[in-house]
Amino acid sequence: MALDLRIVIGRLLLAIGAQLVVYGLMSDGRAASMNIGWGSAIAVTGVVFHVLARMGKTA
Amino acid sequence: MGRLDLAPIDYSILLTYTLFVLGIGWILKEKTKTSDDFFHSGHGVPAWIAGLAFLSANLGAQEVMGMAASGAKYGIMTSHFYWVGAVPAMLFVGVFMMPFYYGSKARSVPEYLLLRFDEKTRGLNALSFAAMTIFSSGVSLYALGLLLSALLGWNFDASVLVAALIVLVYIFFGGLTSAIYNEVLQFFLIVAGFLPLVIAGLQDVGGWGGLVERLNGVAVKQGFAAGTYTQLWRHTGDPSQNPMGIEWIGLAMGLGFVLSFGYWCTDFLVVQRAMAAESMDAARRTPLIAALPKMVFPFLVIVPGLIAIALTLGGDAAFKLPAKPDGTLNYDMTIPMMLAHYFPPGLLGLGLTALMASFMSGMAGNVTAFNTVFTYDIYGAYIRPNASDSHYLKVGRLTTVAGIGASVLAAYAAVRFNNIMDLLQLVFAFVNAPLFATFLLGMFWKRATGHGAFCGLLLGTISAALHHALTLPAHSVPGLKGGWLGIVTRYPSEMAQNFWTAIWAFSVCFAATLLISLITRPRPDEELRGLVYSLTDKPKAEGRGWRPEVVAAGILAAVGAVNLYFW
Repeated sequence: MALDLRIVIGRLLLAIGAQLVVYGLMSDGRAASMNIGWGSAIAVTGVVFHVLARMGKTA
Repeated sequence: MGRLDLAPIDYSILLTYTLFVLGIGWILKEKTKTSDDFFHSGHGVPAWIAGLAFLSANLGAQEVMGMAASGAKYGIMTSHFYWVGAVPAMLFVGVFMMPFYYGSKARSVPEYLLLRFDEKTRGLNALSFAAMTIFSSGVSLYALGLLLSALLGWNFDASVLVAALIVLVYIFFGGLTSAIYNEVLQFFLIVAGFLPLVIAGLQDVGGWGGLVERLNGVAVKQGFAAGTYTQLWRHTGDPSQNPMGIEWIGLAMGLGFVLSFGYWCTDFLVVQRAMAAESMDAARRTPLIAALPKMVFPFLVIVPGLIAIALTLGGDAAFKLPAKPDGTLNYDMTIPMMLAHYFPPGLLGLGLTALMASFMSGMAGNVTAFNTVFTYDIYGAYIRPNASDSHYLKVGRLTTVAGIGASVLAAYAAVRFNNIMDLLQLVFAFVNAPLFATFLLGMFWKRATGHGAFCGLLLGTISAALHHALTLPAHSVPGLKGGWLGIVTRYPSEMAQNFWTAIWAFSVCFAATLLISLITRPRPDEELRGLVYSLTDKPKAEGRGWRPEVVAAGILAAVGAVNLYFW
């Protein structure tokens, strides 16, 4: 396909997850724990998509 | 309900998504050079992407917010839309129907009808489908504007126009590829945005066991047996035993067979994604890949509704669904209220972004299906046949602009109605239910004729209208909801009326097509090869990989097990 979708998904999830983690680090209480926890999970999923794209040849 | 105040982080996440969407459209602009690129993604979509797009094209506003609302209103019986309806239908289209769609080289569902039957049947389907997609796209836009103005206090007109503009940009440049990319992104956003919601909600109510206990109390309070909100089939012996007001035969026939098969097997909006796949194998696997996540989606979109009603009617002081002016609960606000209740800033932005993505993606799916059907089956067939490829590409882009404009108008028309979602379901019963009978006979009975198909479709739709005109759901007044010619039957709910409307439309179309076909001349076998089951070589799996039939059997067994578990 014209663009490797795994890269696009990876970048979007990484961008959103990173923002949530940074915001969580600047917050406290429930906002901190939820944003850091879920933000990390989303960012890690984004990284996994990047790795998958690097490993595979085509999308 | 009170309005939400978004924090800068919420806007930042929303903006991130918007930039990605527009960026994809812009990058794909350079790669979209032919009409095949624009309308069919150059037939180069891998099965996993086509599968997720096939699933996500249906994850529009009605699905995400409507299923949560139905979960709150009807309980776990809403899962019948997935476990009796969508999944078996998706398996059927993958195993049995995709060889005809893909193998016939038709560019659209109406074009398959032209090859199998005749011009008038294609024309009728193209016109009704084009009208339905514009209407459906307008409803997505209307619901988005309504949500943003109610929840965030944004201006309705500005919300509608900005969303329409974003969708226009990425479809205009990237065509179907752009829509498919965004549908896949939307899928991941919905999972990322709704999974934390389900987990936070379940933690709040004491896990699944705690939720069942609370819902038992709610059911008894509503006059039903304990378990009505958490069991699928046990309370369907009589319509009065469950909040959906339907018995098992209406469910199995109306939803499980006619409406679901009608939608998933014949609606070009979803079928187009599989037809864009890179090979016959990929096309057949597309619906099967989609069926797997579809099976677990009730946990993401229906469980929030169950939690919401358990909290609202279970006496929880911290959460209440808002009431409408007539005093009934406003179920449509289930998802926004749950997001506001459980999510802090940051995750709230993600949840809202997932919702907006589903609105825009639902609209984009309709617009891409509309521009293909209009360009090939209306413009190319009746206005200017045999034009150059670049001409049709240009017309496709212009049709996108016109389709978006018509959707905006449809959104403003929708403002006039007070219950547009019910109306939309009804339109599906009018259009998709008889069409499924046409396809069933067309693909599996070589004796079916063009005259039979055309008359059957017309009579099926007329019978749906008549059924609607002579029946009325409980607590409704004659008019938009039915009974406009008189009241012969009253149904316990709108859902029950829709299911029976669909059964009528299907049955009349099936019988009429059958009878008229028997008295009209069939086409010779040679002309039907590749279009009818008995005259087509069965496709063999190419190279490595799994056989679609085996995978479908496995998924069917799994969905049967889920039905038994929640029996």
